[in-house]
Amino acid sequence: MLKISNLSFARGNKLVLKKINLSISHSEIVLIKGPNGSGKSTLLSCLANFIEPLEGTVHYYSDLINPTISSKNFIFISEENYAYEDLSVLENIHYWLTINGVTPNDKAIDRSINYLYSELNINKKFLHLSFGQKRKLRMLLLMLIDKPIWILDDPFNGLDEESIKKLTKIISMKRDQQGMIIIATHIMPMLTGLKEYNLL
Amino acid sequence: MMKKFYLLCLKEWRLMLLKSTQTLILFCFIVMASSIFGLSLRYIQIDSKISMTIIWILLFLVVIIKVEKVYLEDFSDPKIQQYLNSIFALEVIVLVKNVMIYINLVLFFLITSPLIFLTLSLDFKFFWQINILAALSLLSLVFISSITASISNSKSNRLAITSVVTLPLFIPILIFSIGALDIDLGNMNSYLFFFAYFLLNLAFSPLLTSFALKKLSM
Repeated sequence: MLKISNLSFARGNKLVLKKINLSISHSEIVLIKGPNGSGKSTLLSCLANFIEPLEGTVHYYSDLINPTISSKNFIFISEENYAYEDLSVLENIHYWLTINGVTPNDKAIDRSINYLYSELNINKKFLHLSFGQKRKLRMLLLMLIDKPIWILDDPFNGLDEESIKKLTKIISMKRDQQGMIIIATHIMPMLTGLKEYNLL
Repeated sequence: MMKKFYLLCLKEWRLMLLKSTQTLILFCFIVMASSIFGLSLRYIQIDSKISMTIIWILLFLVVIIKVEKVYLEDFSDPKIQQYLNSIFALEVIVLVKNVMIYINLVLFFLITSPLIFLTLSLDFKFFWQINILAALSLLSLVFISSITASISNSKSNRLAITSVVTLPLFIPILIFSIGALDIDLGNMNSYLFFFAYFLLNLAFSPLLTSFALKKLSM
């Protein structure tokens, strides 16, 4: 269980997050909503232990969030692409799997690529992919890295309707496997049993 | 874990190879600059120490630019989030990246050094000694530059100027490399300083760099 207690965060003199309280259990999807600039991404960064809050705590069961816990349990998918433009698609997959401590499995990679892309040359440089294809690489890594907690910042942004459906299915499957999913988005996914949290 | 670390090194090496074009351009700059220097002073008998100083200043500039470029690209906002969430500590990733930058630079220096020696009319009997000296000082230069790059790449523009505080750390390298020419290039004792200075940098630089990246780039 992930428990956020009295979490506040300030950027300069501006208080971005004010006394946030939220608890998330396994097999639960939490949707963080709010207008632009309401602090959705900041909240996710605090959860993932990237930034230190002004006050308040984030606990994973009885432990305070620390780098060991977050690297072992969290996948953080940011809004922007983080792949290396000069590397090929396959090299990027291998690189980011290595960074996450996953030994690349060619069969699993092939299966995931076939599910997400209708046609893709894996030896093509990432630079030469279309915007949508680039966005899908983040989904691909979600499928290949097995960690219990997913923190997704605007995951549906830039995806076509079919890809949104596929991502929704992947998220739903993760929930069924006792996963914990935290999503900050403007697009309302077609998922049932969502827990919503409104910032502002 | 060792296997995973080995895999990380391989991937980083591949990544650095792809960035070799940058290094090639930078070393073309060194060759051009030393040629201009050599040509402009062709009628004057200059001390080899002056030529060596030129090499060191050019190397310093090249290292600063190379490390800055790599850090700007590899530790941009979404990438650093992934590195922070990695099974490897950020310090380890910084260390591996620095070592790969170093190997890349040293290889290019070894390839271009005969040309630099020719353009600066340096005595070839000291070829290997000067190469070893440069290779040793490059180690420290890369590790110190990583601190500079991590501060100058911070989100706050006001902090970019703070990276100047690392500049004094480069000075001992310049002083001791010219000093080594004075003492005796054949005497290996004069190289010990660079090794000791590198060990000092190896101990502190990844820690300071990753601290700056965590605190200033997020």
